[in-house]
Amino acid sequence: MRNTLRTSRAVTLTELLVAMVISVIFVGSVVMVFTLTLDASDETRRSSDAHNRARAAAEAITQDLKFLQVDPLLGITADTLVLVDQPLAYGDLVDNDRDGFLDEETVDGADDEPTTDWVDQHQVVNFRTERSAYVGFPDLGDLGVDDDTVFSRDQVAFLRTLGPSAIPGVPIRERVAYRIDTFDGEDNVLVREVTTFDPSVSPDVTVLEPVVFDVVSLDILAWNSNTDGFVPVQPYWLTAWDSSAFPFGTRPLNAPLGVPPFAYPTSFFVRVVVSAEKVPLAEIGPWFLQNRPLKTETAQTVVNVESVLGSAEYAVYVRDP
Amino acid sequence: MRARRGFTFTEVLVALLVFLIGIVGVWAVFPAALKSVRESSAKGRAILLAQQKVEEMRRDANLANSLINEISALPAPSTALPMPTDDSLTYSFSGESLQFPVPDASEPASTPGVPRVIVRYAPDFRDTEPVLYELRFLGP
Repeated sequence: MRNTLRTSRAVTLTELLVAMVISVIFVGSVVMVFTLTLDASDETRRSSDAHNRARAAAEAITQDLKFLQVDPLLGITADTLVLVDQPLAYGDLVDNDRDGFLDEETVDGADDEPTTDWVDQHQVVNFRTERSAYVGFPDLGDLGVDDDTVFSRDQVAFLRTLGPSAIPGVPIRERVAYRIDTFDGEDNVLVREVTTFDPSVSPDVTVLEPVVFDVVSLDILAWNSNTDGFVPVQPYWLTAWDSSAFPFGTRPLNAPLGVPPFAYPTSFFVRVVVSAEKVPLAEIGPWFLQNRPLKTETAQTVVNVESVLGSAEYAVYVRDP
Repeated sequence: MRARRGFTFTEVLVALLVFLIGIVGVWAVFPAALKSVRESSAKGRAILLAQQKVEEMRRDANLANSLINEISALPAPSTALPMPTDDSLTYSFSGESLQFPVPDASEPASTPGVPRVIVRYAPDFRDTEPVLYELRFLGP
């Protein structure tokens, strides 16, 4: 009887309190770890998703730019290639180049880093150096010198020939444009606008398609292999381009007067910055006034224009002058 | 009466311990999944970086291909340089493969004397992944 009573006794208050404390600590720890894990998972997923979107956008643009080719029947027109530079007055509020200043750089070639590491990224092969003569000129050299983020909303548009139309001698052409715009009432969308000029179809058809949503910045630079008065004569990055408006006397580097200039840049630098924030960019509002960094993901690349790179003029006047 | 007795304190603690081990086991899966997503993202950045460097090389090469020939002759990777906008990645050039250091006829990526861009994690970021991406390229 005594044994039975002992085994069925209730827990004491002390035991109950100890068990409760242990339970609270245990459950609290599990909940905390679980919450942290979910947050980290969510953050990683958003970051990865933003990077994939940025990369998809950069690849879409580069695929179009890589195969630019002047239509010999049409020649150079006002629509051949127009790159419009539209830098914004603010950046991501992050000191990306770690020089102690936020978003202080502009794409002007000025080297205001405290260090003197102007060495070109090709230093490894010993004979390529930063174009120091270009400091102060609109040249980015190795792109590593002036690289703190300042957002841009550049626009690029170009004309291309698709193929023969129903009317002999007049091919189907299309004008392609990339810009950050509004799509279906949503702001900050990188759109691709295609206007098709088919002589057998009237009127011309324009299609606006979204490439990526929640885009912060589109930055495009053009590597100019024409001479236009800079000394010494070397290629350099331009922030704008208009194939139909070369300055007088411009020609391929080292080419004699009278040789027509390259209508296209040799390369494009394309940088797409996409928001990795939890809420859409439009709902955040002017983040640069809220004094906090914007979570972003960046995809950047360089693409060569094959029609320029493979031309005889490029080999003669630029590769081996 | 014995059948109605409650759990002893020791039994409760043991049960909690078993439960805890189970939870930790499940929780341990999360970091692996996150790591996988991060590595996928890093590889995407590495591919773009390698492509960028190759395009620059093709653009800047002279007719004699001096730059590319010099890279082809490098027996070991050049000094790793940080990616300008992402200091978690570095890139270097080499004529030899780091992924496949021993030449193997059945593995084209191991062929020596071919110029390559090699992208790795920066040493102070992670040193357990020697090569993130290796891209071979030819002249212009």
